[in-house]
Amino acid sequence: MQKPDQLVGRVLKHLSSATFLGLFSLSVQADLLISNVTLIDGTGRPVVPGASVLVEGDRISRISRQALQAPKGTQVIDGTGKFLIPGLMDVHIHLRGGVNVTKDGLTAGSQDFAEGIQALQGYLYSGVTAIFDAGNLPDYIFGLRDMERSGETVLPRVYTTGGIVTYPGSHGSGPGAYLVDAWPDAIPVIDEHIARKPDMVKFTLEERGWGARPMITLLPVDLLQTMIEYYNNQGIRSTVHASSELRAREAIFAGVDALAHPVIQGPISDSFAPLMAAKKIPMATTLTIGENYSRLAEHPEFLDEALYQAVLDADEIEDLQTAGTAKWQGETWTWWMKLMTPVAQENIRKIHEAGGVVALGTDQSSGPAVHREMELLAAAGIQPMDIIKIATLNAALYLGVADQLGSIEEGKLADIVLLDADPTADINGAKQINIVIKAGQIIERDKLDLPVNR
Amino acid sequence: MRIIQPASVFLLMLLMATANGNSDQSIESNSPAQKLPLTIVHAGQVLAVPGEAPLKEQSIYIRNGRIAEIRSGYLEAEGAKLIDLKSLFLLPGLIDLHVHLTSAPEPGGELDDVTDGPADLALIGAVHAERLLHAGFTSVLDMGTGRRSHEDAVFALRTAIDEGLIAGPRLFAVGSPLSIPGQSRAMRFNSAVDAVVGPQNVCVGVDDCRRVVREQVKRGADVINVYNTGSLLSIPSVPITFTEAELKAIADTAHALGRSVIADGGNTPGDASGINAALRAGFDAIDTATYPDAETWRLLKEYNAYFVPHLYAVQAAVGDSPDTLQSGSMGWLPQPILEFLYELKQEAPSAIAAKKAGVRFAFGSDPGVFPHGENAREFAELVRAGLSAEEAVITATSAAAKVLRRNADLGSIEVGKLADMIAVANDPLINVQELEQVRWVMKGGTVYLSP
Repeated sequence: MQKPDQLVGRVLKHLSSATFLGLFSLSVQADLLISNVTLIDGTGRPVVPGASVLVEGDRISRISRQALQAPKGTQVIDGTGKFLIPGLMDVHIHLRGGVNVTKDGLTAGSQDFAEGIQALQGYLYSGVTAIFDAGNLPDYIFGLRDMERSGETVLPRVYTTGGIVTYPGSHGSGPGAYLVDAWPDAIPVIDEHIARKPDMVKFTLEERGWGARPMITLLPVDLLQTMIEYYNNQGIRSTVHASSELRAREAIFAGVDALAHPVIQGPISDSFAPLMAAKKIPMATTLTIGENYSRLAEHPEFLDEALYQAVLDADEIEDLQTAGTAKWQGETWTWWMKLMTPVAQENIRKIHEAGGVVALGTDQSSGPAVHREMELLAAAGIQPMDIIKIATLNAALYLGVADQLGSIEEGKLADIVLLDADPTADINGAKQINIVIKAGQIIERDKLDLPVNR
Repeated sequence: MRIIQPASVFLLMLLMATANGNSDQSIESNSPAQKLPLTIVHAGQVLAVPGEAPLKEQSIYIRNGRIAEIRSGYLEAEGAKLIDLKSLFLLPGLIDLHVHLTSAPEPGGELDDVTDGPADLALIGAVHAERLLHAGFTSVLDMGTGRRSHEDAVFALRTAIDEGLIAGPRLFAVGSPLSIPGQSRAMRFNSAVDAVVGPQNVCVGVDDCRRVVREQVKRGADVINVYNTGSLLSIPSVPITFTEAELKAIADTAHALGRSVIADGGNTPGDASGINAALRAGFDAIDTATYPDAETWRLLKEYNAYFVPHLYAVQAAVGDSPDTLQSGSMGWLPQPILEFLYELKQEAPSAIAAKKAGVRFAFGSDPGVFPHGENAREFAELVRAGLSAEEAVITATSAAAKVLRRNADLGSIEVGKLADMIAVANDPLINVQELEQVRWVMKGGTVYLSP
């Protein structure tokens, strides 16, 4: 059955065709018109120069290749010399304040909502209009999701698993996790989880024993399969942490809907990229988490870039550039990850080129990290146009919301970003943010509660 | 003897005797050793024995080219020469079990065998030797090419290094590898040219192969190298060359003469028969071994043999895409071979499977395929294959010393061993790529590179 909003989209699409034929009058009621802009719609289709995009309420109502007369009362944004992309999305974060990501797993944070709000507003500031938190303290992240959905606070769209679901002692079994060790004993535990209405469930399938980390317990694959079916039967998609091809394959054939990381333990086999292309199971890119350690150790000056300066407190940057740099220089993990990042980059490139769906994720907790992830994808040899799709439409596919988000198409939610520089020439053009729009509303970036505005 | 002089054997026995007693007494004692010049290295950190924890703030006493004493703290002694490495991290000198001193990855290399004589090759080798030493490799094993001119040049280089005429690592050499007719790895020429420059050590039958091993040892081989599989230059490569009886005879003869024997081959996809036959014959290490199988891992463990892959060489040899095959270091090779090497590069490295199978690795990088001096890039590849940085360091120190049967002298910084040490800026057990930037090199108590 089609949802009503899908029907609206279809109707609008037909109306749009009519527009092209010049049969449709220009007197549509709209709230926002972006005129004469170079449109990069997120689907990977060729750019459209001189496009007009009309936004009505929270949705994109019309897209035209021709100049449109602004209906009365419409706010007009002159897009001349500018570039329009869908709002960026990050499908793998662990929001700070709730948990901290460490090399040994998640540790509990301060449950400081102000810290979480600042980080989330940092995403919006950076052009990121939706995030998926892949494991946190349930009360914390569901609380922030409520604040976003009620409109109480200006935040990017918050999707989350709440707590991670895994086996006792396995990867991710830290704070906030729902621990399961057998079926049907697991049912009350996961029913408690499902009662919180997770947007997706995140499992882990990881025994470590790589990167100089000792072995830990592993979630049994048959239990994983049973739980995926249980969640899917209630309409909930699943994603799984896996870092080797072996575990990724096991998860795929257990029925998982997305993979939370690329394969990083070694090069993928020749058949893995075709498999990913056949299954179209979205895989999160998460290069930044591994690369960030050696970047802090070797090039802490990256934190002097404008976006980091805008969203991180000065004393935190100073601490990262001194104590943080020294700490990461001394960790084996740093240098192991530096060596393995190119392996993961090549694995991602192969899957992307074979026709698999890779989706932008950082495994971090800051908006600027999304731009770093895009730089690392460019360094992997992926074209900027494809990177934009990875950061938008593919991310929406990952989350199962591609009917609503992820591209600039008529009928979809109006989450869009206007850029001053061409991101298809150089992906760093995506850092030159002019305007961020979420659900048709212009985000007043200069009023967000961020260091840059204080 | 090339390395252990009779005098130093005497000294060694003396030092070992003192080391077993109260070490606090040894420096002050009136032994003959006291009269020899003393060097003391102040080391901020020392990985004395790879596999054990690094030590902080040590004084390493060196007399007559060997480690005389290791003491905690920064100590001084009258008349001793001090070397201040308080800000550096010391470890044993590195050992590479696979170099080709007389080869360089240069266009036109395929004709070297007829254009270059031993004198040309020795001069090239002298340049390479110094680069290897400065890169922290204080011992290397030259694996030969099969050409007599190369063999003669390498033995001449070994003598020149031993006598201090040129700077270079301790040079161990195989001379020329053993091969069967038509399956040497040397470039093939027409029969008239091959008759003159043709590969050394071609043998047929058990007795003939025994003779060739003995003659190679007579000419000066430290280790015996065997082409257990066919030439990479003929595609498809022959999966097994010698018979099992011949391999057994070669291994037994080499061992009887106190030499390790290494099998260099294994480039036939899907067929590890040559690799596995060498292991069953009792070989000490399998080298290259690009296409092993599950039986290979079982045999390596059963026979306590070592696995010596060349991971960096494969990465360096050809370009990164089918369109840029010739952009690698061996771009001058014929197109079909480049294509084969590219396929090999795309394979998930056998080293990952070897690590998972729990076999022992030793270090051999294969410069000659890439420029000499880049050898240490192999460490990062080993870590990518799943070894810890510590395990990677062990491959090029204690493990390699065992393959050479020289672990009494080499492979760790311990009292009585040769004073072959290097220093890097930071702990290589944290970041193994520190080994790509060696700051200080000592070989036999002589400093060859200073910060």
